[in-house]
Amino acid sequence: MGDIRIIGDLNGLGASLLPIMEQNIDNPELMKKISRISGSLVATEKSTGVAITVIFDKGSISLKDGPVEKPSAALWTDFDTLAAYSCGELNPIVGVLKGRIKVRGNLLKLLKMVTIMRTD
Amino acid sequence: MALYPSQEWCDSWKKAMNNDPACIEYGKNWGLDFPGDFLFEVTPGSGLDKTHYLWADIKGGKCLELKMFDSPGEIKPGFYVTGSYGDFKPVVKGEKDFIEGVVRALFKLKGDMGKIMRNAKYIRAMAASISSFKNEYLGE
Repeated sequence: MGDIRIIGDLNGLGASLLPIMEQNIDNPELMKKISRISGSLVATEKSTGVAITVIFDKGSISLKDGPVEKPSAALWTDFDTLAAYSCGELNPIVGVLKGRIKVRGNLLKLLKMVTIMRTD
Repeated sequence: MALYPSQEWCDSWKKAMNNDPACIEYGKNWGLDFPGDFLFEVTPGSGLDKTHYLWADIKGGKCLELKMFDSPGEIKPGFYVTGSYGDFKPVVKGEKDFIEGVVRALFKLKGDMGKIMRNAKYIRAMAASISSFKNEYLGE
């Protein structure tokens, strides 16, 4: 299994997504797609305001509790929508169009980065 | 009214889960090809003087067994939930949401998180069934 660097103590959102992300970094096809990305993605669970940041640095991935100041992209959603996305039940573009996911920043980069949280 | 936690309370929750249409519907695939049992470690505080363990064996939307122990013994559950009595109490009362507690890290949930994400509706239904009957609580 590959490694994801954990920065600080993880909140429950990070702890919930970490096993999925760890599984994904062992997927060569997925890693090929995201290995050139540099940037950060902030994901916030909107009912609690709990946030995590996933930092991409050309193949190396870190997970941090809380948001960073200027992420490349950010998304806000509820846990159930995040769960539906992460298990492949919800297309992220449909989620955005239906207003279930709010996004900010570089959308193309976000769509690539967020695949690290998805298990199909 | 059953006292939370007690074996009587476990029996009431088992009955509530097994009569809840949402638990039956959303849980129909739960635990069929993976261990779907939960071990809840309830740590002291807010009236509880020592750690209690509640074990729920769940398969296909039905709770087969729900037991309370002083020690987890040899149980190796599919999912392990830890939290304080003070944090579990509002969930049992229906005042707080279990998933919100997991997101806020009030509860530590260990197990295959992919299964949890894939069955989030079932987890929510199961957590909702916990507050569908009246209880008595320690420390009140």
